Amino acid sequence: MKKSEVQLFPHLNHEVVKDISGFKLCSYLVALEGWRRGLELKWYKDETELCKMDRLNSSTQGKFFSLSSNEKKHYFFRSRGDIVSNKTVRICQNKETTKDFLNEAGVPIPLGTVLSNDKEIIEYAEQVGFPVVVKPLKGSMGKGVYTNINNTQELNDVLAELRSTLKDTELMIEKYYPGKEYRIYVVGDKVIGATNRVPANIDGDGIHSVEDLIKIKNNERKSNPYLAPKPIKVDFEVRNLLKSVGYDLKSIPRKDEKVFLRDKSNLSSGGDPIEATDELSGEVKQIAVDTLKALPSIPHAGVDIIVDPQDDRKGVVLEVNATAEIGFHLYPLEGKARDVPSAIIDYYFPETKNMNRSSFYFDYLSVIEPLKQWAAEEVKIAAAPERSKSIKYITVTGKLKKVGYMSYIKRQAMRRGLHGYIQQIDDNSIEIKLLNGNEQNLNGFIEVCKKGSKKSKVQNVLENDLQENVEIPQKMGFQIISIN
Amino acid sequence: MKIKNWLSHLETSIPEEAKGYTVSMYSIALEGWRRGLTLKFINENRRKSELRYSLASQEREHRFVVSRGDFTSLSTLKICRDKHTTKEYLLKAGVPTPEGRVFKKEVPDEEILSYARSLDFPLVIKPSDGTGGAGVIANIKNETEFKNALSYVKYDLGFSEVIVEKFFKGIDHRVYVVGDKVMGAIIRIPANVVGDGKSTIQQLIKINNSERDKNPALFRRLIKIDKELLDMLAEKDYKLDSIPKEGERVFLKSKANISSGGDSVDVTDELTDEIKNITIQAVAAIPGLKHSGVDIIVDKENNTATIIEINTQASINSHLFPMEGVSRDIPKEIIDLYFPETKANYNKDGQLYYFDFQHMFEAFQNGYAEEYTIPPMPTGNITTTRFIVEGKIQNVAYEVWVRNQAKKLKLHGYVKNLLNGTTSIVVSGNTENIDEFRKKINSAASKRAVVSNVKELSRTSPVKIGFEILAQGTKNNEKSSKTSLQTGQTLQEGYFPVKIDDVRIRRKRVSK
Repeated sequence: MKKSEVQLFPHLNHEVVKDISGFKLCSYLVALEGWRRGLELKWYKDETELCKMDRLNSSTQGKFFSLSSNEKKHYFFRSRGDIVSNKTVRICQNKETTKDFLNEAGVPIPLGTVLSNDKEIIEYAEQVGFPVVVKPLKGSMGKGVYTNINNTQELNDVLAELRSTLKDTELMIEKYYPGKEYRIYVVGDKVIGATNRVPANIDGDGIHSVEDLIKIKNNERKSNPYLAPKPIKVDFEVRNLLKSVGYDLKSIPRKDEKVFLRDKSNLSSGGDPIEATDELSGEVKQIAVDTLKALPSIPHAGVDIIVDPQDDRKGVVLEVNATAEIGFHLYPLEGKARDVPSAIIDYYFPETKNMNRSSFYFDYLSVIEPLKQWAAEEVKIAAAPERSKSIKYITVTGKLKKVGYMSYIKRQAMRRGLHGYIQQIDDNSIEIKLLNGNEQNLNGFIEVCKKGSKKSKVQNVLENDLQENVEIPQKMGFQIISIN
Repeated sequence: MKIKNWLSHLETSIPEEAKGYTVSMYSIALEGWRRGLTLKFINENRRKSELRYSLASQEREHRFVVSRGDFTSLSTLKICRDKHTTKEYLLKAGVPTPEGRVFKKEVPDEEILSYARSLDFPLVIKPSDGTGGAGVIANIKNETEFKNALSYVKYDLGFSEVIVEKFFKGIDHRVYVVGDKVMGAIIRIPANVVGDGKSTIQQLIKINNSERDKNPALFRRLIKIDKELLDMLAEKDYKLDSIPKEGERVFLKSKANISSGGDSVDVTDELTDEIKNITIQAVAAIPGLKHSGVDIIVDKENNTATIIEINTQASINSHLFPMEGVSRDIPKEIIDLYFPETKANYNKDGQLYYFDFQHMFEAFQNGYAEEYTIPPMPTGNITTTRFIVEGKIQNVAYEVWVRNQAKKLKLHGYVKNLLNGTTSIVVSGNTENIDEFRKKINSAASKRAVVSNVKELSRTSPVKIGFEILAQGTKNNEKSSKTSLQTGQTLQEGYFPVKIDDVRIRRKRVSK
């Protein structure tokens, strides 16, 4: 199978999201988009009294923030904004209630029921016919979900397994629908992105063993900011599945043979996110949009749909994720990235739609550290600066080493609201790179560069304006880059 | 021995990064925060000691920089910034201040000289925008001296605008006035040691320096043994190994600068009412000024004083941490002035908290934060306690488990692995939650940890809010810990001085 080209957004390159993963990434991506459009961004240690947003037992630090313009303020928890009602968040947490709402509105859902008695579960499965799916009523990230159960024997095994780990007595049993599953992100009445999540798999090359191929695959995942912390782990399920096709970890799959390692397509357990918006028929997209309309006040969310392999106009809705992960829409393993954060901000702040997006980004991980440490209650991020059309390079020569010149220049730059870098080139020269500034503060700054710090002796100052791609993301602040 | 008496609720509540110049700001911010006001720092890319901060109640907000609050309006500030205008206001109100004039850059030296002649010698020349006594030439007795001094200040030091005024004999005092009361008065004396009849001068300097090192306001400004010091001793026929008599004060330097080892001495109770009144009148003479530092020269013999300068954003460090005498709680007075309704919340004896300074300052330094709000202080039914846990608990993520338990229960404090293999836990917060935590600590642990014993000890000193995992002791205290804590030896309260440990760890981080 040939892979389609990966196409990611230059404004969200690796540097911008370095070391940020999972739900932190969701939060950061939405916040960053708003901030880059000039909205005021505040991060909170906890939910404020002003806005209670329903959530499970997850932390708020670095995931709870507000964006505001002069007219209004909106709070966000991860990718979910405050227009999504708490009532709906609770509905979506319960798969049965969700199904009731969808069914009521005529949205197609899988045939199924909720039962607690194992005997009844088996009877029901036999009645609707195998294969079936069993999953806990509540839960996320695919924990405890068993798909494609083919017969009574397999169902018995699954139930035994589930009962050993889950206290939940009520289980949802559904008819298994074959077909491709998509996570569709809807904002308003538009589908913004759709991802087909393929269960963890490896592509054979006739040379490497399964074990090595998993390593190779995990390395590939590492280069994707979203997938980096989600490697394929070899566990009972993986070994079992390999065994069912007559393989073990030492086997060497043939060239171009795809070997699946899991049934579940969850990315957190090693699945591949393949961008697939263009594969969807208009009808399926409409099902996704209708799904949100069937629930009270949820203008944006992730909808899971299985599309009928016989008829691509048909599908069933499995689940609605009110606080959906959005990272994979922006960082797919194959296909063209979709700008979900942008669509979310468009929805909450339509007046900022055509605003220029600042190419700056801020140091998210440093921002959330004091919140995590409880050292800060609230941190307001400095406004995104405006980029100059070109980059100004200033080369200074003289006695600049060990005389406090660099930190002096940094202070002076920051006092003037100038952003950029200062770097030592050799023993007598340093280079300053400025990303913003107007005539007034630049002139003052150049004077300061010439004057230097107390103990420094400046010989020469050279200025040079270079046209560079000013769309390339740059970190806000004034960095001192040390050579070592 | 020099006798001093610091404020117990402040002494151990200044985090390492807030020491030095920053103490003035931190201690006022801390007092407001401890009274339940919302504390926010505002980034204007200023120097560390001049960070803007705001304190707010439900009803109103006041902004501050160093010790100056927004009661001091812009127009008041303008008056105080211009020394000539200040003089005019003082003279108009009949407050004694030396006769003198400010000379702008373009005024020819000849004109300054002729003005000097019109005043009587002795005179003073000083820069109009100088700080910390730089370029102040006092007691100029004649024209020749005056010419030399003028040339030195204007051309050698490069101060373009100078003040010429009459010299007033006496002792420099820094007095802090709030409303119509003198709240503190400080004098500075040159570096000195007081003999005990046993120790050598060198030993006394060492003792003195260790005392200075403990002073949050003087932080790292020690007495250096240099040529000046040795010359000064030689003049008195002393050497470093001489032993001064008990109670004998030996001056080591000629200048009273704090940075060259000078001492600040609280003399508030020595000021006469007459002198206090002059100072109070000086503040009252400036429209809109409600609190300020006032530099005066006191003539004890004649029981009078003259006003030299008014400092709207004066440092209050020396009033808080004098090397001799009693601390004056200026932060209390300032917060009382701005938020009188919080007077009842003043607390210096109960369980106290302080807040982290490091993260905020880093956020400002890196330029990404514009405003930074400090979490509110825990209130209600509060308990603070300390546990010493023994067992197989190091390198098994026990401290991470402890932090998670503490955070779940919203407790403040820290966990730290000690070099003797035990783990020390300090927790503070809601009493019920502390009870819950105690149960947890006594009955559970992280997966691979095996707890053999849990001791509970009392803990009363202030706790920093938040919950940290502190790194194990570094080289510095390795020796003392190892030698003083043998196996089987019982742990006592205060065995590991908490603040010092805190300090060392952060210092390490800073140097990185």
